Amino acid sequence: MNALRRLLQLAATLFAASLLIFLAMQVLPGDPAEVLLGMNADPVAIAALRTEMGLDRPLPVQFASWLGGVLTGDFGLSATYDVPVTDLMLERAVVTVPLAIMGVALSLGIALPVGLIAAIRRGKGADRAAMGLALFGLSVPNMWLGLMLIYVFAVVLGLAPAGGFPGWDSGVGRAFGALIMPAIALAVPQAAILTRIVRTSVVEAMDEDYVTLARAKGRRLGPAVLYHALPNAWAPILTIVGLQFGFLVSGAVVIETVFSLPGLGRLLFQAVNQRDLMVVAGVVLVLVATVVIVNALCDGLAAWINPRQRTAATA
Amino acid sequence: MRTALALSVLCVFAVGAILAIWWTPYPVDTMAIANRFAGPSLAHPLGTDQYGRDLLSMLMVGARTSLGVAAAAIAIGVAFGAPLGLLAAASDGIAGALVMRVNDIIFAFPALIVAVILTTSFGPGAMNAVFAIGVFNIPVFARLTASSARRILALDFIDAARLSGKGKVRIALEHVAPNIAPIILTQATTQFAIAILAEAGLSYVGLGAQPPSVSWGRMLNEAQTLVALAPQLAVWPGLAIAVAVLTVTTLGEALRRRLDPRFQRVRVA
Amino acid sequence: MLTVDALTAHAGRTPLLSGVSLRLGAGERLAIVGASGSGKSLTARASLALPPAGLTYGGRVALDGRDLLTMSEADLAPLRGRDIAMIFQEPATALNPAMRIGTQIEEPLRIHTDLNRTARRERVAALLERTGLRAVGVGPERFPHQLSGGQRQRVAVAIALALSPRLVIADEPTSALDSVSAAVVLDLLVRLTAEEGAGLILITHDLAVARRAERIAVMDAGRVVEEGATAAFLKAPKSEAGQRLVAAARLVLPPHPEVRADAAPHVLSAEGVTVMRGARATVRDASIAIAAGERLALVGGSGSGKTTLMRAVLGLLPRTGTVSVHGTPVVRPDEPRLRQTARLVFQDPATSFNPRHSVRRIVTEPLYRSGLSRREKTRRATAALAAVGLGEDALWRKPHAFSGGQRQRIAIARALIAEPEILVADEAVSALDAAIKADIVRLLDRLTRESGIGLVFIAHDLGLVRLLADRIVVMDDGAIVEEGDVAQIFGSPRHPATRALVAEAEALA
Repeated sequence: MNALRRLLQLAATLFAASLLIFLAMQVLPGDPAEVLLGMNADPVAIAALRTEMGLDRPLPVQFASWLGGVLTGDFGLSATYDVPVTDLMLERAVVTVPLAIMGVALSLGIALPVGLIAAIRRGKGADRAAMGLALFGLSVPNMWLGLMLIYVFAVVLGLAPAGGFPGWDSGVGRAFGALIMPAIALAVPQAAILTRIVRTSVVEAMDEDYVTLARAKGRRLGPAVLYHALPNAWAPILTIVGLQFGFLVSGAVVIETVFSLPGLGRLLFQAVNQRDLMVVAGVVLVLVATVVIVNALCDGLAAWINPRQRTAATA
Repeated sequence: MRTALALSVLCVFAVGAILAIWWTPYPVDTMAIANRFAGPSLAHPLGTDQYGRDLLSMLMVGARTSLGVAAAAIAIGVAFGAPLGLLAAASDGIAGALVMRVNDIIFAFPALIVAVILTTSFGPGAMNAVFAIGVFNIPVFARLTASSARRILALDFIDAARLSGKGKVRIALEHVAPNIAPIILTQATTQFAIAILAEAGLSYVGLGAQPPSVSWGRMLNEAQTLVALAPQLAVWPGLAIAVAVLTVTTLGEALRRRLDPRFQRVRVA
Repeated sequence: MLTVDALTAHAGRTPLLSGVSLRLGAGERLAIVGASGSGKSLTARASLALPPAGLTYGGRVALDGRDLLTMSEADLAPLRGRDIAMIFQEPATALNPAMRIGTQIEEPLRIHTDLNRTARRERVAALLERTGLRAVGVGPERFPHQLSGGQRQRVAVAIALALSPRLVIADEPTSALDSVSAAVVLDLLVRLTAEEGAGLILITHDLAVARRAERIAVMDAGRVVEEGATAAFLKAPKSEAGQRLVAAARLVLPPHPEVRADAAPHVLSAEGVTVMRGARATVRDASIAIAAGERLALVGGSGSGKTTLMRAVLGLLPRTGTVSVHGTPVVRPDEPRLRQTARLVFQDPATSFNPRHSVRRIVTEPLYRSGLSRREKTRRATAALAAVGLGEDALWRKPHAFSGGQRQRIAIARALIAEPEILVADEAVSALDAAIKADIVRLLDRLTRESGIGLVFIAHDLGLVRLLADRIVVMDDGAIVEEGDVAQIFGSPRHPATRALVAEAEALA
């Protein structure tokens, strides 16, 4: 029942978002047919193309046909390249998706242990050091971090390429290698934010009586936190991970520019410059949908691990 | 101590930014190719860039853009978000739910995406950054205001005021607003720090301030191709961003600590 | 077995305990009593060497001669839960909300014994049986939120007794429970520790709980001011703090003059009031009437709808039915006539004031739109504060500068300032310590006696009701089920709900 309501809400949000994106593309001064054929094209040819592209149909029909296409995996044709937007995006997603996953994994991999240790060692040296570092970490813009990494590791030490992506055909190792520095630049600010969230949530749970009771049962501080505080800290942590995902997506798009990675971000910026509407709409929709879905997943997961919600039906 | 330091650093940034409206040590819109890539000197404390422009002057003008865009964006977020949140809290029926659903939808659009859409529609410019970051902040403040106001509205002193014959508006002004203002102010500080980072990101990828106007993010972008040749060009604007964000965050945390904990659960020792 | 010598506790530089010394033999029952802030909970936590965050202990707490305060955590852990067990006050927060209760009861067995899964499960089942949880159908697979407060506290007892410890420390184990559950949990705790031959330290502010111990230690301002056998202490407390506690428990008020409850028209009357929450009626067809100068108690278990009824009558909640003032029906719920006649005093003194307003502004709020001058308002505020025993200096301070008892006085002053005919007190003393509670009850008694103001008080404490009320109205499940004077209700209760309430009041008395 609850899950069904969440799903309906998710669908409604996605629908509204796609409608917003579609409408935003309509206020453009340019005409896609004109862009395709050039400014000096024959008005008759433009009109013919408009008909062919379905641009002369009423807006609701156009929206329905676009959305219908999207639902079946057809995002339309790129005006610049005259190829399906879906193909363009798939080609670029093989860079962006691994980058984002590496970024999330890295930031969680740093934030969970560090935040947990900081919470357990609350007020002690380790906590202060971790929190100080986190404060710096979240203040550093990730494109600058990327630039500095390039300067140190590519320019000065010559250990890594300054950017670019050799493609997965050139070997998984090389491809991954090209993504390591971008992933670090992407992950550090996120890790800093998450570390603070993990620490706060765990500390909050640590102050609860049931953690003291666990220690009164004979658990030592570490296990008491691990078994009792952490399970109750998951929900706020997950919620923040979901909310931060939008920043991560934006970060990934920016980082692709820093490292000249041919990902969705670069595709998006090219399309913006070339006014390639179908591509802009497609990429924007994909990014927004990802943010919405990840958010909903995190929220759902946070609710699911809470027995109060999970057992609501049987209570 | 840490707060005092942060406050003075912020003052330096603010004075630099405001001063830059009328005066900078050197003009930033004229080139002096002969003097390009100069190292730090008395004449140019931070050196010059690839066109011979004074980096300190550039940073000052950049501060104006970055801090100005961030401040304007937060102002939009608070000005629209706080009343919406209050409305949602006061009308717990359909209107409230509707406000929150619209919020969720707006929240799905990261500032960068909004900037992309605005840039596609209206061409690039600093105003896009203001709107994009501002729009993104509306739901942030709406949610915060709604949840804080709901918490206050559930307290007994609200009923005491109702029993004294006070109306909704008066209660909102006398009892709700003063108690949620510090919470909103603190959040505004945090969001301001995020907005500085967001503005830098947008101008870096070309969705924000455009040449010839100067911003920290654009300076980073221009420094990128020269990073092997003149890394200092990338160091200074990055440092400016980081220090500004660090300062504002530190201040926000000081505010949060001073924020009245009287509504928090009192623990029996 | 347990010896506490010159125990001190500091939060930063502030001393919270100074030189507490106590002794407990094997199987002995000791009660530590005192007002909140007297340091009794801190003393209890010291027996497990578990200081709350930011606190440090000094002195010596020895179990069989071994000083717990100087032991490392590695040495302490094997003792905790096996030799000494603890029960906390708040059943809502003492159990891990994300873990099944069976797992939580099992935890000490996992930590301290080599029992296999099946053996542990059997022990858990036995504990559920012994604590009477099995009998009410509570199995190990439940989560804490699926249990009532009393049931959760029984789980806490099961956890404490899992390994038959030699000492159980119970920190206000019943004060967060309604009176029926409180009696059950206290009985269970005393019976089971006696069966196990375990020592028991009961931390409480309530002498009704403390009298179950063999010895009583009284704490005040971080010290033990008196210690002795329970019977002797109750008969003749020596310390001032002890005398205050005993006096509060034995509070007697002069007889209240007879009020003609049927004198018509009533000051305030409600007929056929129904309040809906969603599709459910939280109050159903309730009628209630208060005569001038009358003291009416509205009693019932938690969730019976007594607060909801009064809030609806006062216009704070939407309702159906008729509310009349001096026989004339009130048409709109925000009619000034209604709020000039009756004033509400809230339960929780922590949330009933805007923390940013001065006491003057708080107390004069009911004079909003009265057209009085600022000076006159201040004069009246001073008078109202004086009536509740607070000086003029209170006017310009903020509420957080006052203690709980003082805040409740301010709340009463706010209610009095507009000179109402009826004061509605919603559990106005239940958040207060015994001694302060007695002070406020005396104040309410004096005010009603002197000014002839009527009083409706919502309460679950029948001892208080017997003391203060002329007439009692009993609610159960949203409906008024019985009504009568004190002698009638206590002497011959008719409705089952009334009988249950009276029976448990007798049990605790």
